[in-house]
Amino acid sequence: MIKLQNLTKKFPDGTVALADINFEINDGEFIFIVGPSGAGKTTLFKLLDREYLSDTGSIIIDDKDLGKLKGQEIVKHRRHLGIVFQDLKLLLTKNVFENIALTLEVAGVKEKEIKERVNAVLSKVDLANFAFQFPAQLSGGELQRVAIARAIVTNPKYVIADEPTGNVDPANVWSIMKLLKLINDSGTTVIVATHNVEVVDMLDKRVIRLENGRMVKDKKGKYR
Amino acid sequence: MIKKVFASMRRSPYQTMAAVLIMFISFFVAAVYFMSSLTAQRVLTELASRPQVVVFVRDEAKPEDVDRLKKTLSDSFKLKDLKYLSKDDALNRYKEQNKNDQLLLELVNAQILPASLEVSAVDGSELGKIYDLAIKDPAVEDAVYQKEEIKDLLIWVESIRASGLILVGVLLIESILVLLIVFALKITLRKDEIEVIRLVGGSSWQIRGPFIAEGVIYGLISGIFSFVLTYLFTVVWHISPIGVIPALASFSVPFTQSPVNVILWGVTQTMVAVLIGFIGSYLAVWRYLKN
Repeated sequence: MIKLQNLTKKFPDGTVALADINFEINDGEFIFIVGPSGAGKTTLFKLLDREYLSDTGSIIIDDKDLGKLKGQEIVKHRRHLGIVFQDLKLLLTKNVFENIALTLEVAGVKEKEIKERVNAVLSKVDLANFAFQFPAQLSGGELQRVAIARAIVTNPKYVIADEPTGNVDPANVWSIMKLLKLINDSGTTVIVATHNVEVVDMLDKRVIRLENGRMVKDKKGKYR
Repeated sequence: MIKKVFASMRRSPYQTMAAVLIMFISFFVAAVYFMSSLTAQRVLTELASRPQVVVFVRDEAKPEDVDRLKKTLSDSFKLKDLKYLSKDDALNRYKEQNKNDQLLLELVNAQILPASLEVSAVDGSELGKIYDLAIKDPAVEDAVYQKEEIKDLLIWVESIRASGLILVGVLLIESILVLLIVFALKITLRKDEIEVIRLVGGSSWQIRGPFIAEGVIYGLISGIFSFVLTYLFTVVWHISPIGVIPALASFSVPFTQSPVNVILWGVTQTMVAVLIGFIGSYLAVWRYLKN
């Protein structure tokens, strides 16, 4: 379970990125975080993966206060998260297989198991034939699926995806959302930040809306 | 991790070559200079241990005066040798030295030559003090020693040692700086990968370890190769015409006299190189991966 209590984040220049955010996410939920650019969605994700520390309030994940985590505890926390970054962060010098395997290498998984798990996840995201292609050779939708594969290959308890449909064509939007839904159906908690009204309306899941760093809506249903 | 290190070395071969070559040259030059300094030290030790102060005894001095002088010198200094040459011994030596010059032999007899004490010290720098003490003794007519030569030699050896130390220091600092630059470049090139590793749960050691291990491997390679070249250099020196000169032949003593010395020398040189590789890469990681 993820619990945000009175969460506030200010930047050194005085900008208030998030103010007094309170909500809870139960295990196995699928949640959309919506709102215009600059609303605080990415900041919220950076707080969740402990890139940032909040100024006041707290984030409790599985009874652990992220603000109190130190060194190796942060490392462990990040290994329980699967993150699909807004800019994907795929390494251009590594092929698809190597990009995905990196997460498992970091987790200390043995080479033989890495091979099996990467191949399995590539089949899952429908990229089995792309293992040895480099990011420069892939389309926007394929790149997005590689990023998702990297996020789920460790079987994390939580997957957070920042604008996963941001740079893909409409046909790929649905395949990506279908994939995220599939991941959620297997019991993983999925949190998706998006601008895509159509997707949010169609999936009819819980929606948390942020505006100027404040939470203005927390309700199941449509984008608006 | 070793796999990653070698992959990183392959990925930027020119940086790897630059770092290893600089370290290799530094350690080779440092080793050769160190051995040159050792040779100079050995030459001086050899010269200083030869009879250096010759104390001429007055004709009227009695045997007990000579014995007293010998005791005073033995008690006051750590002597390597103290030899008494009577007038007859002096004549015999003179005859031996000038056996081909009949004229010189006819001019000299035992009464002309003074009896003397030939004093050699363990520490060549004490010869001046031996001279000062001996010359004050009433039984002593005169005393001589190669004051200027010893002084010059001492200055030379000290200069070689000091400049050697400075050179070795500069070379080691240069190696560390080159490693800093090379690893700064490598870290910059792998900035994205480092960020991803960090964000997907990589520990600090997983990020820093491969760089440090790479520095250690650079040290290992350059240490081993510089040792092998230094060894070959000393072997060539030993069999070359210059190495036949006894004092200079000592240049290769640490290598040629004992296999244990060879192993010890190799291990020491390699370990120092590994340590420099570690320090250089650690400093780079500490400086450029702070956050």
